[in-house]
Amino acid sequence: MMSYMKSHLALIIFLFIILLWGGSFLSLSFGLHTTPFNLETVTGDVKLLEDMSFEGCLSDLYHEQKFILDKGKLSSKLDYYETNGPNDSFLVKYPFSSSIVKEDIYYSYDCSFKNLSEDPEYKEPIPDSYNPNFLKQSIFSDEIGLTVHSILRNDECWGDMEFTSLVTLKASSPIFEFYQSIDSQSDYTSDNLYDHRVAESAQLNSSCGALTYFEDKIYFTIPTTPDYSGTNGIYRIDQYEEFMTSTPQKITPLTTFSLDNHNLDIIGLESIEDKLVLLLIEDDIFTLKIFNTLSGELIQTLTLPEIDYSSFIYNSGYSKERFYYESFVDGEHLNLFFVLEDGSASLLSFTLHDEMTLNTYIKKLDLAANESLRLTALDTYYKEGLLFVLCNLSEGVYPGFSESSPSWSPATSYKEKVGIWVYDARTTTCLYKGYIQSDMSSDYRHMDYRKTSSKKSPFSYRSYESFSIKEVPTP
Amino acid sequence: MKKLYYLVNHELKNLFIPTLLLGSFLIVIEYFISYFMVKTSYEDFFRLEELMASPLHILTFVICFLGLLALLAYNFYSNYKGSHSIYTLLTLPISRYTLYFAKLISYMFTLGLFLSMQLLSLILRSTWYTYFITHSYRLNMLESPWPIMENVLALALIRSPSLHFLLPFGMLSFLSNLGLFFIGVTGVLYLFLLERHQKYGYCLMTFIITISIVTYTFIIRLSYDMPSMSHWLINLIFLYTLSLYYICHSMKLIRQIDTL
Repeated sequence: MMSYMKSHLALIIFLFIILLWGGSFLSLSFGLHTTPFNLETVTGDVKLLEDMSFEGCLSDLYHEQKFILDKGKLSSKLDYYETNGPNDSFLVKYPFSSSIVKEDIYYSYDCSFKNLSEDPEYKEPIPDSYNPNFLKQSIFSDEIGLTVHSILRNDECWGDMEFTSLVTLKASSPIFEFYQSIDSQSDYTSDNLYDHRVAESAQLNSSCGALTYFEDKIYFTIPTTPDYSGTNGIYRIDQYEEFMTSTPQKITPLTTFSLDNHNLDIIGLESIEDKLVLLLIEDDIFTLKIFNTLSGELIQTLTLPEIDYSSFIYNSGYSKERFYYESFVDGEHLNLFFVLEDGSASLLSFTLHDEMTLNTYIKKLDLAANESLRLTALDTYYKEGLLFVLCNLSEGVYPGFSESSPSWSPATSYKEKVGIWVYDARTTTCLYKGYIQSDMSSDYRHMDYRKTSSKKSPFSYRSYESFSIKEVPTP
Repeated sequence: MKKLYYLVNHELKNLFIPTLLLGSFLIVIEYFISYFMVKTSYEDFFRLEELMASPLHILTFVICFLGLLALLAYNFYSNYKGSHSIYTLLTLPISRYTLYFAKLISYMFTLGLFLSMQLLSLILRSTWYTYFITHSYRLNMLESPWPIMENVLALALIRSPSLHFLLPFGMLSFLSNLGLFFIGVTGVLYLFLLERHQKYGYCLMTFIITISIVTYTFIIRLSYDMPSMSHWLINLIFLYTLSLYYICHSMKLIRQIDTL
């Protein structure tokens, strides 16, 4: 036996290599092509999903696993990239919340503040309570101006827009906060407050909905709070100038309104069909104002006193943003998804026929009592009295993470799943709730943003993307 | 063909056991490194691909790989030492080409065996790691249990460019790996033959060119961005053209000398 083996060593090694490598290929291919997704129905009947198709994918730089829930059946498809995959654009993949991506062009929105007072009052620097290595210096000014910045870019173009608004802060003692290292000898006497943190008293509402897009034009408003005075409006950006040039850009005010006559909280701006919808709180009432996109004429004012907006606050872990929402437009339907302070969400669905009407107001998305999750809306769809909602649910699983005091940060490890809800729009009853679970559990290890940014590609980590809800075409 | 098979077996008799021992030694060392890294880490848990790509793992692999090259060198030069078996080989009723290909194939099998044992090591460690993570004492201290890791090896292999060198997932990676394998084995044998011809200048040049191309391959495949198609093609053309050149020139060299 031994002598036979000795005289056929080549054959033995060859077989060992072939069996090991071939077996590994086969088992791994099988493992990867086996769907990593499964649908877990929590409540309701899965038949409710049969008329709809839900799609999304779990992808990184190397591969993408697409799931398709069609006629209530879940399937998946694997794509592996050896050269640059379709998801290698950082900007498209990770747009900031205050941005929109249209036709591969990315538009961002930001505001900065400027001291307009000739004699601002500078306080002595004091150690920062959060980080003793830093000093905090405050400046008191009785006149603060606000500048809007918007940037567009894609792989080929880059443009910048700067707009000095007619909005000023009317709070009696607005405070700007400067931070500097304790070793730094910088002298903060500049009156340009750009790049420095504005104190909480001067914060704007979330700028997530400040930009909207209609027929190759970008429209924006300024998400002011009742602490601001002056003139706000809806503005159209007609052209972006070259980056870093001083040429004035063309910005047309479509409509303007005074911030001083009413108690106004500007939430955002949406476009649906050929109308612009301004979302605001006017004298403590949730209000939608519908404007003609071309003329800027006010067509309708829809007041909704039944909307309880007091908890429309998004807690990002670092700061709180008022009125953070995500919007979805399909045809004549506008669905708004407001994130609540406790991590849940409210849903508002509107239809625009001749007039804008509220279809449904779901005060709080159905979540189990023990679910401590962060929700992100992925898509919503309104069809024949049913509201379909697709959400990403992130759950902190960092060791020591306490459900009673969730502390979200980029360094927090998390696991994700996709939730599907179906609501009866008339009664706001949850007819169906289910989760699409995946094998992402091995992904949240080492989700340390410092390492992802400096040492390796963030695309090494899978993320859910490219979601959509569609109607299944009837034969 | 039978003579070639016999000669390959004859060469492998001297290479098989040392390669097996070297591969087994590497498996054991790698297991201990993984174990101590996970046990003593202040991080919560490594992902498998991060564990495999740690500098200590790479260092031990490089040392053992150099050991394998030393084994091949010992095998080649042992024909010239002691019993001077090279003369026996040259008097066999076989062509010089058969002698060359017997050496080449046996070296390929040796390298293939070594790399297969690395794959085996990866599979064993991923199984152990999944078990360890699932049953770790640290998990029991958490308020909510960590979900069981699934598909760990497959995801590690798909996401780790360094592990693609061991088990490629696409045709381009596969061809590139095969090219690296060919250039490694043919290059080593070519270097030995050049040294026997006392062409030290060629030796140095071959060494530099081979190392440069291998380094280029590693750079494009391990870089932040994925390699573009043009990079892949350039890389493949270099690898295969050079391997072919090494084989052709080696055959010419072996024909010219009296003793291999």
